[in-house]
Amino acid sequence: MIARIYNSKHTILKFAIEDVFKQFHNDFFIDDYDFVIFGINSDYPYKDVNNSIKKILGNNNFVAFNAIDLFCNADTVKGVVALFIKFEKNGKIETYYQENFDEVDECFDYLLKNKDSLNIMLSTPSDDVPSFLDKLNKKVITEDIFLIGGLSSGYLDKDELVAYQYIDDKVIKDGFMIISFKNVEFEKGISLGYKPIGPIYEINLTKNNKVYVTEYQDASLIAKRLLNGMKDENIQNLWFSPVVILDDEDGEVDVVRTFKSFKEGEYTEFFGPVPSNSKMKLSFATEEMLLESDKIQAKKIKDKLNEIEVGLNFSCIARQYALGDRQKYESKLYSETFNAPIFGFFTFGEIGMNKDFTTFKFYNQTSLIAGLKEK
Amino acid sequence: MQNIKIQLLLNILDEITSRFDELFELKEKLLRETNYKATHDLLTGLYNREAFEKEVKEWIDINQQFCLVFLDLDNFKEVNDTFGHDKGDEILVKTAKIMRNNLKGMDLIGRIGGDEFVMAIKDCDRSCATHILNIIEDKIKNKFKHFEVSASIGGVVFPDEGESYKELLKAADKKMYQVKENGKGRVLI
Repeated sequence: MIARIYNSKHTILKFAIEDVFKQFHNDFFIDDYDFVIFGINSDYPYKDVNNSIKKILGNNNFVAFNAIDLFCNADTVKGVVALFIKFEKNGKIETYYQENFDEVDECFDYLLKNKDSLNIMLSTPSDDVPSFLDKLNKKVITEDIFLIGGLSSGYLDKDELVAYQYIDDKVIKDGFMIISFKNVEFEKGISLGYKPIGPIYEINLTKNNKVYVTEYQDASLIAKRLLNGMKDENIQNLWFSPVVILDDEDGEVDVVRTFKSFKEGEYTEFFGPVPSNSKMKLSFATEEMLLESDKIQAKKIKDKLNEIEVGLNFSCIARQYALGDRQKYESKLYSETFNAPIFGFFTFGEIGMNKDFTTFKFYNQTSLIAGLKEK
Repeated sequence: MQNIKIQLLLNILDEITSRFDELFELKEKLLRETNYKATHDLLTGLYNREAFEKEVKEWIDINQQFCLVFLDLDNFKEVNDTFGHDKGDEILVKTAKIMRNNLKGMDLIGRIGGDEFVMAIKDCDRSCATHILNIIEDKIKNKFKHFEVSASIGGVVFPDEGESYKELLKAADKKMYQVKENGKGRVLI
């Protein structure tokens, strides 16, 4: 497989797409493509995305998605980033999408059909994603199904969060698409790096993403206490200390949740569901600790595959916030370790699997990384 | 950014130390509960035999004047046999309450047997004690008239009628029996 990534920061969408297409034509290392995946900053007019790309490519062999920041190899770009793929052996890309989160059986059948593929799920940032994954989990996973991905990130345009998917001439505003890489060898890792610290909190009462009672106290007190002594009560200050939900059985970290908001006297809200009667801890990491975790995962993938043709990275926007000045180091580190093109984006949540790869999980604050090469 | 992180770590540290405070509070609570169980009758909340004796001995050691009283409920066994132990327990609890309500906070009250209570009334001579105990006896009689339960009460004054706890208790017990033998439901000091 030949994978090449180009970017353009042109402010007009049409020109930005023309720009990346021109770069593709001028690239000595690739003369054709089978499929293109476009990452589009959500500042561009979403209604023009499908037509603009189709007009320039002259076909429908593409998908696109919105993101605030996109990875183009070692760089982070606010603009258009395109991954051009040309298979050289038996590699192939298949796609699937839903304009809702209702057809669990159909999606499961698709994944079962693509059990040996690397399935990339790109979704709108809907609260339905975790419950959809839970419903998928209720299907007995008898085969190895691999699924990773992320939730599109975007800006608010009036009251509309522009974080959509574009496929088959459609704009998916509330749904998802799956891009399946067939006949590829792949390896993936989930980088966390946060060290659980502090006391264990028993979570007594929750509703979806909101926790109302912990330790038999009003749950907003946790956020309130953690923000104590800071100049403002900006919840983003707590992105340096996400909570980890502990696994019922072994007490290890199950998933991480990022603080979203709190309402005094009522609740603390997270970017993802928190189950009632579970236990959680706070966590903390320095920038070095986060990057060290990235390095370990990248090295593991590199050691396994040896040669990597393209790397895919879905990294939480809150993680990038925590990385501060060093947020560019993450994609740089992956790019250097893999010695391959890196494509991906800052997500509003990551889709991955548990450590045994038997359960689909909705994560926050992680960096999901996959390396692949054609079989 | 670094200042926010440092402040956040300090706040997390507070979260941890607040748990230590909770642990210390729990330890204190446990100690209080253990101590209470070791010194009190759990049904009535009065001192048990050992704790009552210890407290009275401390008064004797400092030569504190007081009246030691022995109270035994009359016909209590019949209540237990006829109405069951729950009703019997209820009468014991209410008796304890009557005593508590009619004595001062500094006075001592204990339950030393099934229906046997003891009191140590501080700074109280014979006439003062007689007055208080008559009220208690009267209230018990009225409260439990339906069950025909009354109280036979005997009391002695320290240091006039004994020098040790043992002597005083024996003397009060003897007076209480005199009341029982002479028709029950009275006070004799």
